[in-house]
Amino acid sequence: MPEPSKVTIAVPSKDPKKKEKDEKDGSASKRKPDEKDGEELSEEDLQLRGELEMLVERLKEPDTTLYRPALETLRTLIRTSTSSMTSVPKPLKFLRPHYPELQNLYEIWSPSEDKSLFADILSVLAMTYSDTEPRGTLRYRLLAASMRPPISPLADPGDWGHEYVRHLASELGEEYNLREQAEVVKAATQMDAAGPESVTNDKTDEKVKPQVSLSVGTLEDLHNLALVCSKFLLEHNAEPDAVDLLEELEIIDRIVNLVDANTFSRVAAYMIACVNLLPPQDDIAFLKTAHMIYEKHQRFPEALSLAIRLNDSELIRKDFHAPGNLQMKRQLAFILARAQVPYHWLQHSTTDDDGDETLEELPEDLQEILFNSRLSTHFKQFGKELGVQEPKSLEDVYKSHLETSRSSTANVDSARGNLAGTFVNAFVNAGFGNDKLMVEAEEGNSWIYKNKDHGMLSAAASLGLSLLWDTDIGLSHVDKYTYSSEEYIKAGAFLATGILNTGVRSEADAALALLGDHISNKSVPLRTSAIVGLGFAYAGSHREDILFMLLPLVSDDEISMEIVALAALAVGLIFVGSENGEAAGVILQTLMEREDHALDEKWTRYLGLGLALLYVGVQASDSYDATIETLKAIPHQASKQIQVLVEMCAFAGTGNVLRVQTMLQQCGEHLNVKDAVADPEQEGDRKKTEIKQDDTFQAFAVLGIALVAMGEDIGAEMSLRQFNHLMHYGDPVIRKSVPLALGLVSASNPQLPILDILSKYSHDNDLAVALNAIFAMGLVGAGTNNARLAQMLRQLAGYYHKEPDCLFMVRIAQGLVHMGKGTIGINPFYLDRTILSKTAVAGLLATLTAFTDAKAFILDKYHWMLYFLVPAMYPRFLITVDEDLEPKPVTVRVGTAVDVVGQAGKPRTISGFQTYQTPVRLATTERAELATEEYIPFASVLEGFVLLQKNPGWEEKMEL
Amino acid sequence: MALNVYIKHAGNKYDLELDPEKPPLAFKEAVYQSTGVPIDRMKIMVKGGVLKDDSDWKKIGPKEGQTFMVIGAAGELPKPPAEPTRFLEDMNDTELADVLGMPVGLTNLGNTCYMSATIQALRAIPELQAALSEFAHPIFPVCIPPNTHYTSRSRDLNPIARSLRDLYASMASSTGGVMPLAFLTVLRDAVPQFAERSRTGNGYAQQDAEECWTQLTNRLKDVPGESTLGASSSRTKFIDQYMTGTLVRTLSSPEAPDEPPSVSEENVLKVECNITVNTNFMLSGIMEALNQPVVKHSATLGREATYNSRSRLSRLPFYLAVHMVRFTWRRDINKKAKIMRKVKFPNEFDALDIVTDELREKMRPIASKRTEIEKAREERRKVRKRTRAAVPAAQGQSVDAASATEVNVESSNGGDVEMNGPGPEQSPGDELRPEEWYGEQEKRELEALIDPSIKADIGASQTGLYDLVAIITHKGAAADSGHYIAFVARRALTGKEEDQDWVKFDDDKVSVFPADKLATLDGGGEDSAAYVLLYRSKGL
Repeated sequence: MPEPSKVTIAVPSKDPKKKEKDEKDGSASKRKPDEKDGEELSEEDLQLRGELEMLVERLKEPDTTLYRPALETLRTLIRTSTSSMTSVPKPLKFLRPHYPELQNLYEIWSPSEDKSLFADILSVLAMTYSDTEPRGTLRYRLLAASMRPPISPLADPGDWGHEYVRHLASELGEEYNLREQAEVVKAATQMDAAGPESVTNDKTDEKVKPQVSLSVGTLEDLHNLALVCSKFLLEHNAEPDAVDLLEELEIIDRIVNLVDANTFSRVAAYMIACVNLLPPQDDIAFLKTAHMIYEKHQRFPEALSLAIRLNDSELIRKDFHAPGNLQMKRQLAFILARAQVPYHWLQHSTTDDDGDETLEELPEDLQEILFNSRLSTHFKQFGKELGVQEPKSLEDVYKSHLETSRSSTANVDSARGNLAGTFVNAFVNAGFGNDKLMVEAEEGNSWIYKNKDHGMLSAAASLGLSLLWDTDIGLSHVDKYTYSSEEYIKAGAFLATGILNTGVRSEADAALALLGDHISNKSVPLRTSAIVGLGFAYAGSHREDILFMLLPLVSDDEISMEIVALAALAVGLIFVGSENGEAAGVILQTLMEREDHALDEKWTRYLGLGLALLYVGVQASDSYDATIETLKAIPHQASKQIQVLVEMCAFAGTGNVLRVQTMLQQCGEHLNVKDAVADPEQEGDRKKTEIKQDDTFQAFAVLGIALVAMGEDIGAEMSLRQFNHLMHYGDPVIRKSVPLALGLVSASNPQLPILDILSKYSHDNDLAVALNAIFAMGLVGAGTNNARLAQMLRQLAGYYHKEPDCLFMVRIAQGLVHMGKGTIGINPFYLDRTILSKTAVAGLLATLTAFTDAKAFILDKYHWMLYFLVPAMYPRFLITVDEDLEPKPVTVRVGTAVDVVGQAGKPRTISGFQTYQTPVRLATTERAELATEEYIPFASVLEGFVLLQKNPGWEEKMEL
Repeated sequence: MALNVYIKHAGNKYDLELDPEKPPLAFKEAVYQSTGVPIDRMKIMVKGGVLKDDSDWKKIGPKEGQTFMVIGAAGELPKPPAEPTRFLEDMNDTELADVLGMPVGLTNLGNTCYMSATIQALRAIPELQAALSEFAHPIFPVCIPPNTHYTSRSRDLNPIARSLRDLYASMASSTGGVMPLAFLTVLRDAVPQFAERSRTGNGYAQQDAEECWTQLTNRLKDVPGESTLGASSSRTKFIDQYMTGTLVRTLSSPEAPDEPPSVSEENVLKVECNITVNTNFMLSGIMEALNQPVVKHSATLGREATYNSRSRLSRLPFYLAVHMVRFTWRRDINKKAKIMRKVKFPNEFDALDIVTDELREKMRPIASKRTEIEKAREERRKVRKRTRAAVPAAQGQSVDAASATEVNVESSNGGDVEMNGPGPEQSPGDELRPEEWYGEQEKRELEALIDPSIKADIGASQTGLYDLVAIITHKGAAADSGHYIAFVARRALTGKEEDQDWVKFDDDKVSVFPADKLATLDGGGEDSAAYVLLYRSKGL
């Protein structure tokens, strides 16, 4: 009799509303069969219903002996049906009306094994009441577990079918969250010294389901249940659900033991894909867990790439030395070389007899790979394979016969035009060491002399770009110019020395030996070139000895801000992302001690950038917080822009939405407008001179949006919208930074929408905006040979043929688009766009910083700052090498990368592919996969250098 | 004891012996022997920096088999070029205008595009500018009061000629747009119709560029031309010499066959091209204008009769202007209307169709000879191409880069020409003589064919063949509105014959206009349509 039982066994803590509902449901259940009769149930269904109702009746009878078989039958009936995927399973449908009765019935039973079984069945039935009685499934599940005698272990929830497990999983998450909240509430109320009783009551009211959280199921039970569920989910190709469940219960690290050889790669891939969307701390936890998974399953390249992402030197060293296989080790070395990991991180330190620590040398072959020594050789060979080893002339790039309106045919050298030519030649022929203007120039006819004054500096330095990575021949070639009587040429040669050593290391430490003496030279150009040259050559190397050479320059308050700032920048480049306390301290000290008028100079931004680069990608760490706090204490206005710089660098590529929002807020302020409007004449004059607010920080805030958002595709796309708004409503300083941000967000990735936007901005009335937009077009297309972009730029060359500044920039952009004749890109992400190269970010930021005040830097005599792009330049090749590290041509399929994380089955990872022989060129959004099964790659991602191993099972297959 | 070490230099590796007992200089000497890098420019990388002459080997601690990196280049240091490069940025405006070769535009001073276009088109006649500067050179300073009695050269001070010369001079020496204010004032002064006010608003009215052309040429009539030096020609003025044709008009009536055709002669500054519903080509339009039925009173018949007026040119000027009569007075609407019809104009115009039979006979030999020569030239070009392609193929095996060979062959050919002149050819497989040699030859042949009477006539066309050098176009639907733009062939401005491009003068906006787009100026819409065309006679 359902009615009386309901009245007598009312659950005290259940709120009355619910009871009513139950009654209603109860009465509804009575009507329902009648209605259903009208629905014409099939005979079979009728029989099933009858059987089920009979079983329910039996449970209500006092005869306890009948319970067991009845429950067993009930269970079997439910089980056999839940496993099907069709609509609502019949037994559930028919049992639904009886659920409230059964619930009440359950409460009067005394604890026994039968009751546990009963709870288990109720747990399933509760699925149908999830809307009115939340977490019923979980509750009965836990009850069932608690009453089960230890001898008969808990039945696997998986027996109830997939749907049940998913249900359970979602309720687990909810429950966990509620408990978490309750903890917080409890903690809070306890602080208020409220009685524990009342707390419990409070909780009772708040939480709909007090008995469960109080009586049954500890946190541990929840965890265990979650583990069981995820195990089931993992076994049934629902890896994302499993990961989500464990993430919700904050026990993601336990997944390591759940995954097996079949599931680990999918789990790890899903986890990595989640990282960008997780709040801080959780993302690190995810990376670490994924790392553990890979480590456990001996996936060294993947593990290493995560270690690099975590920027954890211990982990990197461990991973690097983990594999016993020499070839695998070499492959790891290739990955590390691309990442520009400081060499000394990889060395084991040994303590000798005197107690001195010495670093163990690595084997020569590994060292050679880690030093990138053969990068130049491979790159040139790659160029040869692609048929682009022939040098390109300026006209090959400009194609001015296609320009709509041509300027003069005069054969007179324009210093501006030639300077542009210098850069174009340098960027286009970068790395091939055979350009016609500089390296292969006829005697006495070097392009250097076609430049004027400071132009000669850039021209001489362009030698370094042409001979990029080629330390063998390049250094001697550049050396010739260091004897020049012309100061600018000499300075350029120093810069060239640094540039050509970018990204490659050598045992001989040539750059340090050649440049080290000159950092205290009297001549400012020589000095700055040597300093910046060191910055280039040792970017990302974390070399302490160079730090101690450069820091005295930073702290010297006798020398000009130019040298101080560039020294700070060099420190930033070398110690990028290191959180080096010493460097940070000295720069902060300088910021505090320098006089105001020194900080008013344009160079302050580089001082700040130097500081900020130390924090690239560290996110919110203690040292980061400390730095920000210190910066806040600096009274000078420049403090604000440096804070923005540090913040954006720290969160570079994380996609952190909160940071993007703070940056947006910074941009929203209209600083100097207020003054101008509010002030009447006399007051205005005074105020304008005194409180002319420095708005440089807004420029960096715009760049910051791009820098933070660029790590994640959706965020990057959303940022485009934000930029559009900024362009509409922003102040001039913001407007001119927006194109730069666009360039950053899509570097070397010419997507059509961005091209269209930039093309529009490149015709802006404000020439500063147009100029930056043109440069951004260069960035976006850098090294892509994009025909559409090239056409746009030619059109711009015609449009701006009377604006020397813009024309200059158009030429540069043309050079960038054909960078390395289309073989070198500047996108800072690599390894399937998962890892952010810190040195590349540093290079890009340094370049863009120069463009935040183009008139003062690039268009003035600091055009050599365009070479700041060099650290970001890396060949976009895939070279497969055999076990002797000799190039090994194999067929690969290259196509647009498709995101397949979390998708069922084994979908194709690339679309629209074509098949090529290696070496091949990969665009930013492209991916390659081997088209043959003859070889097995050591690397997880086919990019850069990939070692191949003959597939031992291959030939047999051919025979079959 | 000596150690065996390696040095690495410019990608090569050398074996060397190093004796730590000896000073570093000894080692450097050894390095010099193998690499050729001068010792004072040699940098040897050792632990802790560069090896110095006073370094102590003990501190460096060289090891057996160690590799040292040597930096430094053998051979000469790069030298700056003998002459420092001269940059655009260092030049002043006049020098700039000189080197840029981009002609300047004229600022629109309010509906003055008709004038700008005319002036620019007239610039395609370099002889005019020469004559102007010759003629209007103010021997006497300009400050002569207007009513004083002029000296013998007083008539030289024709205000239009003078200010036009000044204008051209300032245009030649500037890079930005020029304000033709002075000229405009003089023009409006001299030709009051150009000072007419706009009917609708304030400011001056739009004018007809053809009108301006005619007025200007008329006002320049007293500019002296090339001195005739005893030649029979009576033409002494520039306009007469270079721009005036003679039209012979024969009137005859089929109704009065007995009546002898009356022949009249007149000087014309331009040839008209009438546009009717059937006109598709410029030549047919011109013919239409030259052959017109005229109704007039016949003396023999004593009544009105229809006469055929047949006009032909008996003298072809060096510069022939063709006026597309696009504006007509439409009686039905009492308005000046524009004929939009598309009329194709040739880039090369053969005027033999519109000359008198007599003149045609004189010119025919030249014309036919020219065609022959053209043919021969084409033939030679083909042969040259073939041999050029063949030579590298033969030599290709020995030399790697085919392109380099090509350059070699070309340069050796060129070298031969200059040294040996028309002497025996040395380059293999090439029986052709240099093109210049043929050019001379042809010129001589042609010159011999010129009729003496034409030869004596300075400023007359010798060939009867014309090249298009300038166009004034009109844009817009109505006659008294719209916009005039001048297009001038750059070769006419610079004198460089190989320059194929045109320059578009849209007031002060000057841009390059590709020659292959000239066909878009045919008309047929509201966009720019050719209105006045200036042809220049081909030389020999």
